[in-house]
This record gives sequence, C-alpha cells and structure tokens, in this order.
Amino acid sequence: LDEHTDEPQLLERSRQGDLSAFNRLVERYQQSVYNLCLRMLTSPQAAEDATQEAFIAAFKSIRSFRGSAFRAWLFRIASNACYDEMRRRRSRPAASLDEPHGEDAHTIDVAATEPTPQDRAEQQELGRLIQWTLSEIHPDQRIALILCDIQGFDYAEIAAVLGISLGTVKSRIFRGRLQMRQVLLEQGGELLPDRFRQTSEG
Amino acid sequence: MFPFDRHEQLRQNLSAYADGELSPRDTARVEAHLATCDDCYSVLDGLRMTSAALGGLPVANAPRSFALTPELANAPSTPPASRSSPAYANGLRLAAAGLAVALAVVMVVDRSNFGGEGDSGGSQVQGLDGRLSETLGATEESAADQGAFGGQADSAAGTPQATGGPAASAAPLASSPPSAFGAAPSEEYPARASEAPQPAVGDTGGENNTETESSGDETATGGDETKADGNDFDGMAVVEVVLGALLVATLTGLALVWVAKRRRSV
Repeated sequence: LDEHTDEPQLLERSRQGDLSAFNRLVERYQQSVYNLCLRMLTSPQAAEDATQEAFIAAFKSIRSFRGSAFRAWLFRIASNACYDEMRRRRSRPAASLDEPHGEDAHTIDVAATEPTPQDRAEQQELGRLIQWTLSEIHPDQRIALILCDIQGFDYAEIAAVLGISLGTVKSRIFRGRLQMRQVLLEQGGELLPDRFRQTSEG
Repeated sequence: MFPFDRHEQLRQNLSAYADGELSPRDTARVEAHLATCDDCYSVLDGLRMTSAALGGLPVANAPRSFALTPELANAPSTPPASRSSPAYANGLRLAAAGLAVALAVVMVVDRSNFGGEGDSGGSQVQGLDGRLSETLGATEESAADQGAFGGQADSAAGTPQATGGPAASAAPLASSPPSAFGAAPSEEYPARASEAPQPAVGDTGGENNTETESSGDETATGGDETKADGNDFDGMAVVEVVLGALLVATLTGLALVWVAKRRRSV
C-alpha cells in the first residue's frame, strides 16, 4: 500500500509532461493492464499491442485526468484500446480464427500454486478452457466479467470504468456468467463440474 | 404478480447477490426465494463457479516493459480502426472530386462541340475558356489540398523525370501511378500527385509544348495563359490537359484509398 502514497505526485508530474514520472506509473500498472487486455483479447500479441496503445493514449490524455481513481481511469482507456484492437483484428481477415485455442497456451504464465506436474497440467488445461469460454461471450459482457471477477472491481467502479449504469453492469455480469456457465458445462466434459464445485466451495 | 415473473426477477438478481451487490432488502428476498427454489439454487451455484473459475485464472506476467520512450510518447497514436483514417478519407474525397470535375469538363466540352466548330466562334472558345479556368481553379484548390496534406509539393518540382518517363503517352497514365504509389511510402503521394499534372501537360501535343511547359508549374498559370492566347490555343489540348490532371487526381485518390486500406490491415 505504501507504494501508492507517491501516486498523486507522480500524477501531477505526469500532467506536466514528465515522462519518467509517468513511466513509474506504467511499471506499477502494466501487469494488471496487460492481464485485462490478455483476458479480453486472448492473443498475447494482441494484448501486448493493446497494452502499449493504452499507455500511449493515457500519457496523451493525462492532463484531462482529475481525481484519484487513476486505476479506473486507466482501465477505461485500456478497455477502449481492447475494443480498438478487436476491430483492427477483425478487419484483418486471415488472422484469428484458430487463435483462441492454441497460441496463448504456451505463453500464459501459470502460477505455480500446485506442486505436482500433473496438477499443473490440469490447471493449465482448465485455464485454457476458461479463457476460451471467456472469448466466446459478448465483449461487453466479457469486459464486465473481467473487471469484476479478475480485477476485483465492485459494480459501482465497473459502471464508472465502462460509462454504463449500475443496472447495466448487473445484467451484463449476470448474462455473461450464465452464458459462461453454459459453455463451460457443454465443453468441460465430466471433470469440470467437480473441479468447479471444489473451487467454489473452497 | 405471477410466481414465474417473481422467480425470473429474483433469478436476475442472483449474480449480484453472489457478489454482495444487493441491498439488504433484495438480499433478504433472494435468500427467501433460494430456500424454496432448487432451480435458482443450482443457477446460483453455477454463477459462483464461473466467478471462481475466472478468479482462479493465473496472473500473466507482462511480457516486457511498456514504459514509453520519448518517441512513443510523441508519436501520433494509431487511429482506431472504426473511424476512417485521414488518408482514406482524403483519398476518397480526392477521387470523388476528380471524377466529378472530369465529368463536368466532359459535359462542357460536349456542349461546346455540339454548338459549333472548334476554330470558328471566338466567343464560344472564350466561353469555354472561362468555364475551363473555373474548373482549373477547382483543380488548383485540390492541388493545394494535396500540398497541405503532404507538405512536400515544393520538392516535387525537383524530380520531374520520376513521372515524366512513364507518362510519355496518355495511356500509361492510367496504369503507371498505381504502381508508383504501390512502391512509395505514403508521405510521397501528395508530392507526386501535384507533380503529376506536369507530364500530362508536356504530353498534350507538339505545337503547344513551349507554352504549356512554361505554365507547367502551376495549373492556374496555365489557365491564365490560355485565356490570354485565346484563339490560336487549341481548346481541345487544354481539355486534354485538364482531363489528364483530373484522371491523375482520381487515380491518386484511389491509390490513397487502396494504400490506406492495406495499411490498416497490416
């Protein structure tokens, strides 16, 4: 927490065009921004591009930022960068049809919470399935779910980040989860519900 | 209220309930309903599962530092793919303007040809010239646009050979600009676009070469000279010059559109 006490000063210096001050904020937030983009876009390359674009855009408009909710403001820019990246990739025909499944499996770091290689492989498999499921739902619902379940924002913060009403946040998260549940149950086979039940109880 | 409606309404609150985002009153309602409705209970369970599954996703490390270099910080940001890039829009505008003016010129020429022979009526030629200089004015404007767009119109005069070669006759004009544009980086298009009328001028016919070449730098000057020289200037040559220039403008516009499209998809 103490690493955030200098944030107002860094923001103020960034507003005056101090790039090194801004870059300290970049280093502080790049992992969460990158993860937001990665979960949103699935492809690590796309996530990298979107992350870089987000920080460039943030630096350019840092003067317009007022207040203290820098993370929410930054995530709003990042989610816009993700939408831009999706449009860019959609306008490019050859790229992405088979991307969601394979490519990122090797690149996503798996946190080594479980000791044995078997568990680890299983965890990785599960992570891939969840990411794929996430990529199957509507982007508007996806970003709401990511902000809620992965980034830990509450509904009011999500409403602020996405510029939508609380009611819309509520229904997007609800419908997103319903649909994810549906896809997971269809695709997950027999092993998954058990695992999920364990996770949800634990 | 029908039980089903109530059920449905409560069901939609399940997710918010799982997140602790309901008011105490709504929370109490949902809990009361859950106690009696197995269906809703299993849905709630499923919602919690997906929530936990997402929360359990590993956190990826940033693949590199995203700290901005001064170049990145000052670079123009990539335009969102949804909106037309300026090159794309300008290209379309240029192409449309070129086509429209070319059409107008053709119509004017058509009418004056219909009215009388090319060498007879001085007034007719005068009128044609007047209208031509209007259209030339329009061309000048679009040339100025191009100049503003690229800011390299001046440097164009230095390299007339670049396009002089391929433009030796009228027909290659149609094919040569796209290939030239295909190879060149975008900053050079405007320069080439504004220099392109020169070969077209030089190409219009033996007897007018000296006049038109001297007016080669600016189409507007060409227009003035046409007016001054009046009758002994071949009106059709002017028309060809104008049409050639417009053709180049149109093709340039289309090439810009094409390049902009390609760039967006790279």
